[in-house]
Amino acid sequence: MCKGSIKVVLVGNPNTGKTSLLNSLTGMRLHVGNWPGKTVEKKEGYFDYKGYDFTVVDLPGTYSIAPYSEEERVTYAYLRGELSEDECASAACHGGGGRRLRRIRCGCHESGQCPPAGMGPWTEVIVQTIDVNALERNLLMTMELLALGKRVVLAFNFNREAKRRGITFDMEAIARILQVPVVSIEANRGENKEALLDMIIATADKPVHTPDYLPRLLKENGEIHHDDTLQFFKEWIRPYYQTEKSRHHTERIDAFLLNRYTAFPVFLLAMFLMFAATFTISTPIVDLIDACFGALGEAAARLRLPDILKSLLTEGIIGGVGSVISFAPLIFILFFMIAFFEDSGYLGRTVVLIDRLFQKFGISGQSFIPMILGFGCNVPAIMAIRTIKSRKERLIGIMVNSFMSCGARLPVYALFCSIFFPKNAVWVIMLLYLAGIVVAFAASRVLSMIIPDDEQASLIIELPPYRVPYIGNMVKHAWFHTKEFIKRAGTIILGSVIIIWALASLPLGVEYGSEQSLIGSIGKLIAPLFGPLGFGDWTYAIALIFGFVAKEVIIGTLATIHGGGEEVLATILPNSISPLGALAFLFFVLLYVPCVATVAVIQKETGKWQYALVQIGMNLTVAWLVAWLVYHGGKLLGF
Amino acid sequence: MTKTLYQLRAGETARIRSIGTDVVTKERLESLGMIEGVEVGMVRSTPLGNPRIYRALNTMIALRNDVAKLIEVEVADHV
Repeated sequence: MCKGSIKVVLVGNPNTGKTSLLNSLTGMRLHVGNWPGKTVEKKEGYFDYKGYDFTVVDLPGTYSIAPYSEEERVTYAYLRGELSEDECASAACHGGGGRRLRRIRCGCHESGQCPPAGMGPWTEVIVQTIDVNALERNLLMTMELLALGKRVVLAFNFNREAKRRGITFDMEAIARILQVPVVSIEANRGENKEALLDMIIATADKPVHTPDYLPRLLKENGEIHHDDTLQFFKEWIRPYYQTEKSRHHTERIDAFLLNRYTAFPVFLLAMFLMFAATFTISTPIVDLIDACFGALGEAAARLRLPDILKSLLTEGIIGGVGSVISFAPLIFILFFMIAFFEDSGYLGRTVVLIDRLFQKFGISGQSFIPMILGFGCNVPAIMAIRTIKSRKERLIGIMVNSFMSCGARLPVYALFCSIFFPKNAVWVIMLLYLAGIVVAFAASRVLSMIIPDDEQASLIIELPPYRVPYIGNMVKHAWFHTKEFIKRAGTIILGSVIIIWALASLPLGVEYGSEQSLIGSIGKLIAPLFGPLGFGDWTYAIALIFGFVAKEVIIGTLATIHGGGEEVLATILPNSISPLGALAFLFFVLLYVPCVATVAVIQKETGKWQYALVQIGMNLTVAWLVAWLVYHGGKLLGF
Repeated sequence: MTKTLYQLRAGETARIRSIGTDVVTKERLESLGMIEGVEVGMVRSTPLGNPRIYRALNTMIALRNDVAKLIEVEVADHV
């Protein structure tokens, strides 16, 4: 029997283990979407526990419910019940009576055991993850949540780390004083998850309790008095919370990683290792998968099917989609590496390391995180730019992010490098990434001169303690993006491949994929534009056009036209392009139009389609000029 | 003795007396734990000298020097 529905809203300061808790509560059943009308990622999970129907909503990590950056605005709006109607079916705002829920899971609503959704069976419980190592700072936000009149449960996290650091506290006493239920968890290991859920149920069953000390801490406008709150902690919480003065390992690590002499070499080495490892580890797996598809293609060719179907199957689907899918391990390892940098706490350090340098280019060091994330995918990276406060810096950050070479471009480099530069593949790939960074900097400098100044926002960021990243979280992050990559291969890439196959087969009777085919005539129309860049063959023009759908389609297109995967391309491509032309082509791929999804997110984040158009124009111009320089520069140098 | 946060040397600690930034910045500082009356320590500078890293309420916070210059702190006098 269904006893009721509970909506758990996860809030917490950044780096308090919120994502780990979400992962441990929901397992792999996580739905990631956007906040209605906003492009900030919204994560939701669903599960049943002890007869209760749970929905977990993850809000962006913030230090205060008062918004500072665009991203924090989501948390603020949600907690205030100001988020659009999509959310109103929940208890966050009861006004949405009768609105149908998008998802009814345990079926109890239909069986009539629970009142229909929107009629108030949802009880909302806020769970705040707390890093017990910085209890007072974390509790500042707790007071804000209580002031909103919410049911709050505190999840004390990182207890083991606190113990190691010599922090001791009496959790029961603190819970009693705060008059808020507290559960100690170890989010990374999923420990005490049940205790937390039991506490959530117990809290949901009781009316909202406002602690009696709270009014004393409030200003007239309902906000929290920070200094009074701290005074309250000092008087009442401190007796139950002791810290030992000891040098944390974080400071020892920083002494090395932020040292005047070692910081930059270590940073560059870390970046190099990240890409070298991604490429080296994945290459054998990619080759293996490619060989499997090759064998599959040969097997399919022996099937007794009409020629036209056989061609669609071997040239189109197996060749085109297979050539893309075989790069999934590359994507997985890349995102795993990025997650490692993020979760270990190092990514935050790179911001302070580079801030002063970035300021010379008119951007803040904070823009560096979205840039690194751009190495994964530009779409979430551009969303992450919301954490930057200044509008001007946000705009610059958005406009230059697509120059950061995303994971979907990596398969293109990997393919071409393995064909044309097998000995120096890692170096060529590094060169491309560096070129992307250099262009992003130069573009930032130019844009910062064009875009008018607005309110100056200083850099104020927390440097989280170094923590050993939890492997489960990294795998999950990497798998999520790999899944998306494979999903794309099965949907839009499959679609593109079929269109390409059709265009390559028409008009009827023409030789497949020849210049006389429809696709050949379209390609030849545009190809002259790329002649001066060293890749004037019509197949590259077509590949670039379809690459607008998603960058990895470039491979899919070439594979479909030539009817095979990496092995086949390795023998065919050198006939139509020189190694120098291939290099120029890769530079062009690096810099030319962002994919459709990125253009859409640029439009959404800037609020103007003009910006998206400017972006396309800017990228095409830059890409053409740089590829020209590479080709003709290379020729001058005698390559 | 009163100084600005910027004048603290690595390893020194002091108590925040006042935050002279604009209101938005002040609120941001406060939610990160840089509140009047709180003990802050200067942890270390960074390779390029700006920003610098401070400690407050057992967390590390990086601030640019122009902001640190607007925060007044009280250093305990040595006896």
